Amino acid sequence: MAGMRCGAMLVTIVCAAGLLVGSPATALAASPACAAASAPAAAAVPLSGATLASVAAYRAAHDTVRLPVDLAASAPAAVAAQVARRAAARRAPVRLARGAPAAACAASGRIVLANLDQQGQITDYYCGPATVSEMAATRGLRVDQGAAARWMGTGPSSGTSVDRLTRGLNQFVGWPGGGTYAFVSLSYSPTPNERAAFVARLRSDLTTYGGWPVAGDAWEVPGGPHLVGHPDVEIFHWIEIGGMGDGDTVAYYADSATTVWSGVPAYSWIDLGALVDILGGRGYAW
Amino acid sequence: MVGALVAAAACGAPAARPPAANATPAPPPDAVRAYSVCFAPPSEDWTRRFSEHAVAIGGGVDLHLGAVADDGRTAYGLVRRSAADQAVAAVDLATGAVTSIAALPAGAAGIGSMAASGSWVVWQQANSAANLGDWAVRAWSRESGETLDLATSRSPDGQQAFGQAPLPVAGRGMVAWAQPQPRQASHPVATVERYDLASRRTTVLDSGRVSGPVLAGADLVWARVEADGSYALRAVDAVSLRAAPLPERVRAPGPVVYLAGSDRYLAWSTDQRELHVWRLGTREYGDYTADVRHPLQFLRLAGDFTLWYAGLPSTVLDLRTGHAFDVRGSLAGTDGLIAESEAARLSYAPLTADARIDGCG
Repeated sequence: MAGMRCGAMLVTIVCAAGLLVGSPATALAASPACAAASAPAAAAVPLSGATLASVAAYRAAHDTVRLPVDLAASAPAAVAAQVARRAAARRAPVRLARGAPAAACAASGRIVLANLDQQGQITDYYCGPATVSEMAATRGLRVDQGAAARWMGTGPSSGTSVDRLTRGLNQFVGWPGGGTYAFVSLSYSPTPNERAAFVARLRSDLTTYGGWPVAGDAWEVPGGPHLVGHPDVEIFHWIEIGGMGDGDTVAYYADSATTVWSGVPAYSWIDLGALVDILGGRGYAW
Repeated sequence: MVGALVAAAACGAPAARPPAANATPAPPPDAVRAYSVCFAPPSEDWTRRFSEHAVAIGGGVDLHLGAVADDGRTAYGLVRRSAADQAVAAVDLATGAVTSIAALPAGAAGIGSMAASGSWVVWQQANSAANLGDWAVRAWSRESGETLDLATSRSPDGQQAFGQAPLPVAGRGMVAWAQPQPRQASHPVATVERYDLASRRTTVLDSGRVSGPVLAGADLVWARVEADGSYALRAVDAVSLRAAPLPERVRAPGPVVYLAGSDRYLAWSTDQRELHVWRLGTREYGDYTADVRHPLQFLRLAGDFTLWYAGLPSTVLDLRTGHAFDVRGSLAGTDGLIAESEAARLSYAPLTADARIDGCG
């Protein structure tokens, strides 16, 4: 699957695994996300083999979509080539139509998009439109949830499909900013290569031309890992991923389900391995 | 914290109201202890406690544990035999035998919350994995086999509820929950409802920006956001519905995200990391600070322990020591035991007098 070709932004920030940090001072100082970059995190709690096997079995038994998984595309050499091609394609800057560019905010070994937007979804099945609207706002663009939902054909019985959401991202976020989004499918139980590829692609998007958020397609299953504040039931859900750090062990995301479950925080840090497990059987658009 | 108000769950049958404190000119000061919660795997002692009472679940099905009966003999939860065959079920804690109670509709996402008291089990079922607001609250009687449909996410005129799906509680012959109302404002609005299982009548106790109620001792307690944005806890006697007194520290709790009650404690979280606990009938309080990998959510109480689902793992916290351990399965408890289920296996640890979490790693 072709990688996203993110357009150039007005602010260029280069971060490599938290070693090299650059960002406008205003972005560093102004954003709540930057404050979140210093939030503490404890040691990871690994999932048991039995739990992972149970989650994979559940997904295999319940999958009505069966997205094709291209394991070769997650091989380290393939991912490195993808990222390099994208970097080359980003040399021609494209100015956004309106709004302020995103800027990565780095602190304490973490990268967080300084303008990471969060909105409560306006219906119980609008996580897809809300994620598109959030990601547009993060990039200094504007599309409201209703308009995104109408364009993508979001419905109460099925939400927003992978294909429709990816096209919606390109329509409202990618193309207006000079880039494109592509969806990467993950195995029911993501492989080490798939995990490493997610880290590489997320870092690439967060740190290129002011930073691009990544859309995560969560498939939470009973007994498996869940996003913060989500009940232990099966949930299909889109989220906006906008940060990472602590040696690639944690990720930061905005969750539109604040209007569905009152205990859901607008923004959360989560163990990065658990997040990839949550995206298993679906995937992410980068 | 703005707008974070969540219903909660209570475990076990509530005790009689504790005697009212004597009115004295100079009451003793509140005793508040602060704990920085330390997390570790279960100790050998706790592993042994669980393993001594472990059974394979009949048919090899997975159980998503939701509640345990007061008598400690039966666990309730969701069993899944296939994608099309999910049901609320009872599992015998001694034998692992499974008895189906109610089938879930095709495409159901699971059980969002469950409580048991006396002969009744009540649960909130999520009917769709894609439409997060499609749910129902149902109850089942172990004595009669009767199933009641108590609430749904659609009002009689077809409008969709907006806000937190209920986390119902049961006890003292009633079921209570917060019923979210159709969208009226940018923030969810709900009514606190009490359903009398004998008379089959519903009483609305409060409305507005309210949490679900919990049973704490003899009282129903819930949180609300007042017009000025401040948080308050309110209480009524669960039977007479007369207003019940709360200590000053509890009446003005600060932000309330999750709330839990039992016959011994009232607990609430103010964010993902801060937990506050009041020992009912005393001036003893505990303030607990967790870490970001154990977000305080879906709190429950069992004996001297707080149980919560942290998104995986689940966690058991000893309120007397501030020490905690993680388990990978689902948890439920009563005043007499803590039960865990993972991968077609169900076990429980009796809460005997020496059941404490003293070490930390």
